Amino acid sequence: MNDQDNNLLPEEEQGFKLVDAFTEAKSFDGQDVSSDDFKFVQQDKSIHDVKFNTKPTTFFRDAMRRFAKNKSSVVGGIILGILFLLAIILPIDGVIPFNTTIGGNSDKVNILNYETNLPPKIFDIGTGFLDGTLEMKNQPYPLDSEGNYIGLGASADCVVSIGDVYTGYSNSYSSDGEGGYATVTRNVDSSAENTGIGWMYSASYEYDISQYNYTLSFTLGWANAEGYVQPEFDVLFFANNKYYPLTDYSLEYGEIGQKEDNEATVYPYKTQEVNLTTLLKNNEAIQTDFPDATTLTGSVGLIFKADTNNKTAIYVHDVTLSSDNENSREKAQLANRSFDDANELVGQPLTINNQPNTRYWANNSSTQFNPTDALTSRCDIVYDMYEVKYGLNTITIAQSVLDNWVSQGLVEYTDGNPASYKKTELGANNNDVYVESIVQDNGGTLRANVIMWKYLGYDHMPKHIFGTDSKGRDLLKYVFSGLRTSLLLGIIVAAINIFIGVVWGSISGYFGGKVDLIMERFVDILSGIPWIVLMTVLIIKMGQSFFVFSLALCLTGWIGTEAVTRSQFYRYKGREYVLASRTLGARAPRLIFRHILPNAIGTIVTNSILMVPSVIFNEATISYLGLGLQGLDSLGVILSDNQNLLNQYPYQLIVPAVIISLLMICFNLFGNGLRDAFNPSLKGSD
Amino acid sequence: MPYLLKYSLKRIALLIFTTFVILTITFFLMKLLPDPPISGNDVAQNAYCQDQVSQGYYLVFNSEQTGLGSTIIPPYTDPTGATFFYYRRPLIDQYFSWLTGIFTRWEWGTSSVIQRQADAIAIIGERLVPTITINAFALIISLPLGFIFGIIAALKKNKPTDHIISTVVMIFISVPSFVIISLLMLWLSYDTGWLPSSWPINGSPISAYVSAMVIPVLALCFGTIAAFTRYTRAELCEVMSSEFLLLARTKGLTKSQCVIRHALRNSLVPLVPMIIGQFIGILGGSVVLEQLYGIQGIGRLFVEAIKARDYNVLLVDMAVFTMISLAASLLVDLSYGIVDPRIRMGAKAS
Repeated sequence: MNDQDNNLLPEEEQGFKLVDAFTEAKSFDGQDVSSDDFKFVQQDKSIHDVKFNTKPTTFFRDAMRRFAKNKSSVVGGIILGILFLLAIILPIDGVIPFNTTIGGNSDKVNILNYETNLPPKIFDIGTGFLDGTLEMKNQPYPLDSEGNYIGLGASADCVVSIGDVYTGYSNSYSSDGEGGYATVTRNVDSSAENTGIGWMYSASYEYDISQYNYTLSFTLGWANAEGYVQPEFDVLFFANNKYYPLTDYSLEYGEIGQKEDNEATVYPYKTQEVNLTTLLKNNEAIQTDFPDATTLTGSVGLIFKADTNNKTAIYVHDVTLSSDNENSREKAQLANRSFDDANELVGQPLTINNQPNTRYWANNSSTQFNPTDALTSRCDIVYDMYEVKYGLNTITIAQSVLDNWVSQGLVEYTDGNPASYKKTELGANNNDVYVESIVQDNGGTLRANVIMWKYLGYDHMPKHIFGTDSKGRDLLKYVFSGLRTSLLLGIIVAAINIFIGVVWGSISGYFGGKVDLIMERFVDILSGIPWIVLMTVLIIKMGQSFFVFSLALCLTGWIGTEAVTRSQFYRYKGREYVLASRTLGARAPRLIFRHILPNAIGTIVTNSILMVPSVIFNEATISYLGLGLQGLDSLGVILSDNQNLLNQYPYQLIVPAVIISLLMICFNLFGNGLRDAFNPSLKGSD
Repeated sequence: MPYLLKYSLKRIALLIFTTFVILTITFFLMKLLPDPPISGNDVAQNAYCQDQVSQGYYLVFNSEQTGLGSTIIPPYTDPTGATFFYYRRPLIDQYFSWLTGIFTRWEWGTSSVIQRQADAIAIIGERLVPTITINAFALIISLPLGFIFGIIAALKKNKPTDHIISTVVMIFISVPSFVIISLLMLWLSYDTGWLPSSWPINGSPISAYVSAMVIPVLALCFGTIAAFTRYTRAELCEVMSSEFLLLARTKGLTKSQCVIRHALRNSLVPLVPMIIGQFIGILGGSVVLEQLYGIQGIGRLFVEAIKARDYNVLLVDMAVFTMISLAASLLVDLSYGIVDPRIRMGAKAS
């Protein structure tokens, strides 16, 4: 109100005339003064207080004027307003995953949750920043036989750049792996031999023992991490579901080298070599079961035995089967049953075209063993994820879909031959022409190569500026719908808290004495309970609905407002104007609501503004503990859901994190500005 | 000081009473929920039930009883041929067995899920170590830094330095701690690979713990430094504009003498309670942190216990949390009187 105090009243209305005493005194000689010179000015006027000429202002208007001077708070308020607006507008048409189903139209195949995990894209590809690319780490390096990068199964068009190639060792089959050792679990004692533990055996083959000498040789790799395993071994022959030990563990190893740390390529064991033909011919059990046989059909294998309990794995580097027969077919067959690349061997399918795969070596339960230390080449590849998802993709279609396409003129048979199809030239810019080519494989399955964004029904390749999440939702819409839920919760809870706090604090502060004492003890106990305990118990007890959540956040949330209101009441209730009003007969409600409460209104407004972000923060905290809202995705729920994607898809966490941080900063700026405006004496004490 | 002693005793009595009330409320609220399923084979289940019987939560009979509801596990027959029927005791009886255990033998019961049949107090003791370590380190680091930044900001009030510090403080006060730790994890462990992305498993070498401590301590520090800076700045600004400092200047002291001898000492008064309060604050705030970083602390234990409905562990954990926060508020109030003898907490307004 300073401006008004300085405003002097106009001179002529001040009730008396100012006389310049100095100039008058000079001409005054005390003689020629007539009585006319003395007269009362404004003698007939009635004089009153005069209304101020300035425009009257209210407390709020004054506060707003002060607030507007605080630039950072104004900016905070504007951003807050924008966030509010976006939270209302953006999710208006829902956030359900786009094109979850392309149903209703029989010529399209339903694709569930297709547009998942797309990174943010604002700029065109190649800018390197927010251009829809994603760096996939540790991808297999070499191209597969069709020239595609193996990692994503995506074509080379989708690869933006390839990082340095680095090698490593893999202990499981890797499509890009090489070498390594086949890992066989050792047999503990010989009594379990027949169970097949510790076995490895090749595919069956017809051995012509009457004419040729067959040789089996193998090399063990170094031992496992615990040290060397020096197993006893036996060569076995497996025919007609019967197991024939051939060497009876009588063969010995050669010299053993030293294992070096992390040295994967050293295999210090000597290569063992046995003459299969001799062993088979001299084996009594075989001679009994197959008397005078010239050929024997069965599997050749090895069995390893070691009784050291902590060393369980035997590493086989290579096994070679050979014969002195120069027949190329036999050479190929035996080579097929030999291996020196365990990773390649392990990658073999059990059957090829429903025929047993002769390259397949099985263990006890007819399954493959894992390779150890297969050499892999890996690199970090940057993919254009939009090209991967929206570019040329292959989908499996039914015959009816194809018929539909033909009837629509999208594709036509070449030369009228139903087995071959080609794309119809309907005009390159026609969005309906999404089919590029159609392939029918040996099994008769029809596959169509389609341009995905056209197929999904877009006008152009979409850009998701915040990307999409793991369920295919556009993050921009999803995050702002979460913001809407959070804000709604925050505002409702803040309103309830303010109401309870003001009522409780008013009563407690106004009446004082015993009422105050009892009410304050209640508040003491309530505020003594850690809010997180109270909340979790309530949420566990009553479920995770929006209502329970609001209730839980209201339980202790009002205490801050209560304390502020109470202290304001203590401050103002003894003032003269309250006393005056009381002597004039005003009752408690009038004194509370007309005289005391308005003094506290500035503090309460500030309090309520700052309560909204604290409610949002508390809700997010509870979500992180796994007790968040269910069914409604608030910002906290989105954050905690996406937390474990931090490594793979960091943007899915960063986007909601940035929004919640922005919200908090703006709320604090705005709230502090308001507080300074309402209560200038507190300025700077934030 | 008889007054202070009397006041402290009164507050401690109140503290114990409040903790008792809170634990009682939680006991009943939690026990009203259905029991978690008992895992393991029938022998393990029987052992568990025997343990519960010895703690006074279950009743055991050798024949089927009526009026006690259904048995907790199917009747168990041991190798000697004796059959046991286990029933839940009435809630009020369970409550009194629990109370008796605490008051007569200082037994807070055993864990039912988290570490089956381990002493709840022992579990808490084990889990308290990482929590306290991380919080203590965060406090040790952030205290001097916050103090220094606060002094700089206050001395350069309304200059660019102050504006920069205040803006950064504003940002770090506003940005939630879980956002900060996520970004730190992304930057320091996933992107660069400098630090581990989660807490090491038990029995790892000390170096693993040290490197794993960097991220959580950093995450806690940002917020705490910001809070300390803000308080120091506000306090110092207020003291700097007080009359006794003007007097000191007029008597001929240099500005630095004024600041060091008069302003700083006086601004320390409200800061001591603030430090204690901050310690409790970050202790509570580290629940989310421990959850995100997989730290085996009491905050994480609390969440685990709630989810698994491991009552005894939960109650001890809560007792620790409540006691710490109430004791801290007591310490804060007492420290007011110690650092500034003019303040008498709890005294009647004159």
